[in-house]
Amino acid sequence: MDTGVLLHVLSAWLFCMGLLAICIRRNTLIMLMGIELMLNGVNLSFVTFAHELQQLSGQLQVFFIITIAAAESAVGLSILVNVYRNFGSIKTDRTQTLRG
Amino acid sequence: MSELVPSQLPLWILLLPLCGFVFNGIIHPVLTRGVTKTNNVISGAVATLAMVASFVVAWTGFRELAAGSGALHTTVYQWVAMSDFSVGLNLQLDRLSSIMALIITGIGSLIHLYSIGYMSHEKGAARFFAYLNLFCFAMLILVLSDNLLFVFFGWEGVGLCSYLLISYWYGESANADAARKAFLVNRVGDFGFVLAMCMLYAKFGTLSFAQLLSLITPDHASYLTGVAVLLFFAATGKSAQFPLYVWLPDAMAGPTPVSALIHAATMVTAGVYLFARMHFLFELAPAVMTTVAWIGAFTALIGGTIALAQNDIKKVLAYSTVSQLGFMFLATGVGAYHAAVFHLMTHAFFKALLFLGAGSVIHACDGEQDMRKMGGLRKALPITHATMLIGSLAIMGIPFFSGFFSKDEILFMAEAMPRGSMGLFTAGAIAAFLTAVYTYRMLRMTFWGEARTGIHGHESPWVMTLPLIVLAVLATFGGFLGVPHELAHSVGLPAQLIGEWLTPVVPAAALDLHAAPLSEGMVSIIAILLSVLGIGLGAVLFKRSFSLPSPSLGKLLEGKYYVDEIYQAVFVRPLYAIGDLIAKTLEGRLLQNLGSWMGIGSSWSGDRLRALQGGDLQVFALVILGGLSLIVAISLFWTNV
Repeated sequence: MDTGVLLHVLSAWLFCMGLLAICIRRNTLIMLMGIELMLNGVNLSFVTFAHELQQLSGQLQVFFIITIAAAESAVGLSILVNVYRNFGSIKTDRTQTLRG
Repeated sequence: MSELVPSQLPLWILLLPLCGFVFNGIIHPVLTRGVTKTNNVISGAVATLAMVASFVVAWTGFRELAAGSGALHTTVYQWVAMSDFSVGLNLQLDRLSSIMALIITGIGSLIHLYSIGYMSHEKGAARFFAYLNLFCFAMLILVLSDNLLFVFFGWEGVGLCSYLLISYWYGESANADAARKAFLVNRVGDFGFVLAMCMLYAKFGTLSFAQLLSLITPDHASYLTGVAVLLFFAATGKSAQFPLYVWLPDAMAGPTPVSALIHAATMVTAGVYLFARMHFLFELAPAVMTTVAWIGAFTALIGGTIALAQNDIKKVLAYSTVSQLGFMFLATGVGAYHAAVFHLMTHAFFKALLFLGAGSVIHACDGEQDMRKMGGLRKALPITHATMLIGSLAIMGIPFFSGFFSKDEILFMAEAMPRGSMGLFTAGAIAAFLTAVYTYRMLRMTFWGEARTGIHGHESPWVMTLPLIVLAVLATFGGFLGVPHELAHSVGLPAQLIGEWLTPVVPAAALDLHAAPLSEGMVSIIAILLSVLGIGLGAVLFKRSFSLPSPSLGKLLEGKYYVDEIYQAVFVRPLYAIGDLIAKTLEGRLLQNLGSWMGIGSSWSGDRLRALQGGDLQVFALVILGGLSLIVAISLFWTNV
């Protein structure tokens, strides 16, 4: 199989694993990791496309994403700490205050 | 139509009763903090003054018309003004409406004055006087408007006010029922009025009398037959003609002045007025007019026979009114509009007098209306007796009282007019004969003979007797406005003043006086003979007992031919049954269940959708994922196909 296709499949698989983590895991920390995983999946496909099309803009995009991911994890972690303080847990099923 | 002269007089005729209504309906109750605390004398005096002032204005207008000026015309405001359709409240006092306005305001004033005495024991009669004023206002709109739409406003206005007045004592459910009956039967007729207006507008694009008069030509005759039928239907409702006369006798549940005002002098004559006003239309539908004449004659007979067997004094007068209205329709039907208006006027005099006299009797007997319990009231009520006697002589058609001239005119026209016939004349003559019989019976039962129960009345106060006396004078001399030609020529009196007065508006009956099967003199002699015979028959029949010699006939007449029962069975019961059916199936099953289903459906879907808003992050994520997948799938699908 061609390396490019393999890389695309890998990136899609990473994205889906991240999504799956978000959808099924109850631990907010793991969910945050899932988000990072998704971002990395996207990064991978950007890089692959940049390589295939011989254009720099894709690689450039990855830098932005890495920066934003860093900022996002900082914000996310602080939210997480606050959630822990307020609810005494970081499990999402403890934070369902709208449960009917 | 004669030329129009701008004038504010017609507006003031209308506004003065309206002011009275506003005072008694709003200002006075607000000042006294409650309608039950209003002062009867003050409200009665204001209402009466408003009517008297209106009468004075109407009289001024009448004088201006008599001085030779054209119709007085006021444009109050433009109600609807679209490109090709405009209706305004335009008032017009011409020769026809001035007579009507004088009757309404003149007799109205007397009845208002009388009501002060009649309603003196009532608590807070301001409501009553407010209704009376409003009624007169509506009736004046009806006769003064120059277009059909505003005539219809007045037409509905008097319907509403009659409803309010008949159920004035709304505590009694019988009164409320009678008022509802009057209102609903009138609505049946109004249906015809509305349809007729639609048809006229569809064809001619206007509802103004003057424009209709100029637009309608004999070419439209076939179309206008339908309009004429519908208008006639409307008139049968308002003027209590067969088959819609049943509301009028029930309407006697209201206070007696109301009966005098509405059911004798004003509202019920609206149909006759409509015919006289729209004569140019009806003339093009001869078949309809013949029907009108026969219905009128038939109604005169029905009313006259039923009146023979009634024991309630007001019911006798009510059926007598139905019968007399039949005479008027008979006259309009043969095309003798002036005779109809003449009889309308004299009838307003003597019937208002009779009703007010009956009210005086009822007042004296503490509300007793059953004539079987009266008798011998002549001594206790001398003025009432004397005036009632004059009114009775007038309605019987005794020579030189007003009813004699107007009824003779109608009987003469019934056979002399081209559309008339001996059949119509005979029916009218029999009805005239019956009039004498039942009127004699009423007098005999009420005033003469010995007192049958312990009722010993007292004469009414002057506010009640004064109107009686004035009306008695009118009922005596009113007929000289329409002296027949032959008699007038032989004694040197002016002939047919009222016919001549109306000629510019309503063309006089075109006929050759000498070509008639019976001459005017012959008709008079026959009519006099019939009246005298009627009185004689009454004297023989009702010497000892007051019921008819044949018990089965008496029962049939007392039961009013069971027309009410027939209507009940044919119309009312089936309608109730349909209503029940709809209530049970459509309403009870379908609509109610539909409501429940809607409730069940929304709570079910709410239960399902609640999870979306549960605050669970994973669910939110899944929903977003689902939506995203859907969008991707759709966009893929669209780009591929």
